[in-house]
Amino acid sequence: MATTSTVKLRSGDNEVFEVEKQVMIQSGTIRNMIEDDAADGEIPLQISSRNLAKVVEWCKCMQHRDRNNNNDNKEEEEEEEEWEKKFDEEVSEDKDLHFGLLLAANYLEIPALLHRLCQLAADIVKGKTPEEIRRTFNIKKDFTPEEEEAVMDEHGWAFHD
Amino acid sequence: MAGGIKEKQKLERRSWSDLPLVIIHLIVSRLYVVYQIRFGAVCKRWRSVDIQYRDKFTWLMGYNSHSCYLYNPCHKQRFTVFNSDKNRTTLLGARPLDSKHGWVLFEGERNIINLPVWREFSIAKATFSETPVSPDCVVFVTWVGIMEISCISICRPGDTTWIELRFRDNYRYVKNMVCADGFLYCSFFSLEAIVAYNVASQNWEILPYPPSILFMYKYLTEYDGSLLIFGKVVNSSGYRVFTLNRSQMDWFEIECLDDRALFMGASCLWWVPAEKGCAFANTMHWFGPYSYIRDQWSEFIRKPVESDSSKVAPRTRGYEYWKEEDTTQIWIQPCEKINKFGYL
Repeated sequence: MATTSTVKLRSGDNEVFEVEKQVMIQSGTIRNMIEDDAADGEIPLQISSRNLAKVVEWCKCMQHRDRNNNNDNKEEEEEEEEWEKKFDEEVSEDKDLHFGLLLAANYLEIPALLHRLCQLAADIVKGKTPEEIRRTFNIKKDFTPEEEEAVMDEHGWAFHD
Repeated sequence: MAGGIKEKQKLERRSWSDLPLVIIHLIVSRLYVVYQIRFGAVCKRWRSVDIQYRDKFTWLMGYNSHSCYLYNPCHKQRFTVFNSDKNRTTLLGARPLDSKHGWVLFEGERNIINLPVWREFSIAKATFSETPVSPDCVVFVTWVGIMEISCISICRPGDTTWIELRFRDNYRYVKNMVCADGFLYCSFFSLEAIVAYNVASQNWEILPYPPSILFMYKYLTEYDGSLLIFGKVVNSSGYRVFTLNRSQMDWFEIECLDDRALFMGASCLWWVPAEKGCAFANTMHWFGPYSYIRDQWSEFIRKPVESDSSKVAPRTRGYEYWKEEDTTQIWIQPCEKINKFGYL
């Protein structure tokens, strides 16, 4: 049995975050380590401090929300909604942050966060042409002209309204 | 210095195109099919994820001698498959006959999946039993022969000739032809019964219509391997749907659409489970001569499906559909899982 109620997470750039275990068990990866009593020291993660801070913040907010689910506190509810809205906006506007959080949520196995981030990515893609998507995410077109023609040929109807 | 280079390499690797496939998959699964296709045209890695038909919704194909359109009634979007000014003449002049599992059966000069060339009179109706790439697929074609007697011919993809089947009696004018669960069911304008053909045993049998209901008109269709009959009741605005239980050889009424939608048209019709709470749940869709007469600008009309038990309380909302000269229209059944739109 673990003795402390917190875990220490060390980011890729060596910043340490001390977080309540109750908050971090939302992460399948961390939960497994806690259950295996392997979470007593610092847990090194290949996640930058900026992204890790955001993940921790998100986990705290979700845990707070779940704990208060039975309360009928309108004010707090609105506050949480406001926070989520801000989170969505911030992530959608910052492609590096969005990308980093996707990888972090996948690595830490936080399904709710991963799904939220994928929905945000899908919302960004929606309604755009391939070229607009490339520009938005700064992706290089790696098709040869022949390959691109084959792509357009196969589903030509989907590219012009 | 070394750290700087490392940092730079790290930055270069941070591209959205390198996302793990599991994440790309999660994003794609949230996209509507047209945007999935556009997503796959962004880069090679994103292209490696198969298209998933999340909404599995029926589309309408409009087809005439110089162009072909797809129309998605759910999102009210129209897409051009090809125009004659583009160099895509393979299917020009072809006529769509039936659709199943994302395939469309055309009558035309060219047979893209090797069906024998059709040399008889003009085809009245046609259908097929399976995905045409399956070895079990049988294509059925009806045509009007001498003395206006209905004839049926069958072939399998890969055959070199058509085989003609003889009805026991001289029926006239096939109205509907449906493949379901190893049987071909035909209804006729001249017969108050359904003729069923067992593909495996090659036997014909006659099935009565559901008893004690007078239909103004009725259509056969297939859903999930069962034969359905759908009709408008005489002297009433109601519609009723029956399903055939083959083991009991009896009809059972379907009193509630359970959020499904019903599609009917000149050449094919069926229903698909609509998403729960979708605006299309419990609705009936049709196009064709009836609606055309009613309103030139609303060729595509939605009508509620009512049953006597009034368990269905559908919403009605008509909307406009495009108008194109000489266009044959056909509902297209979405694929279970594909990454190509195929033509037969």
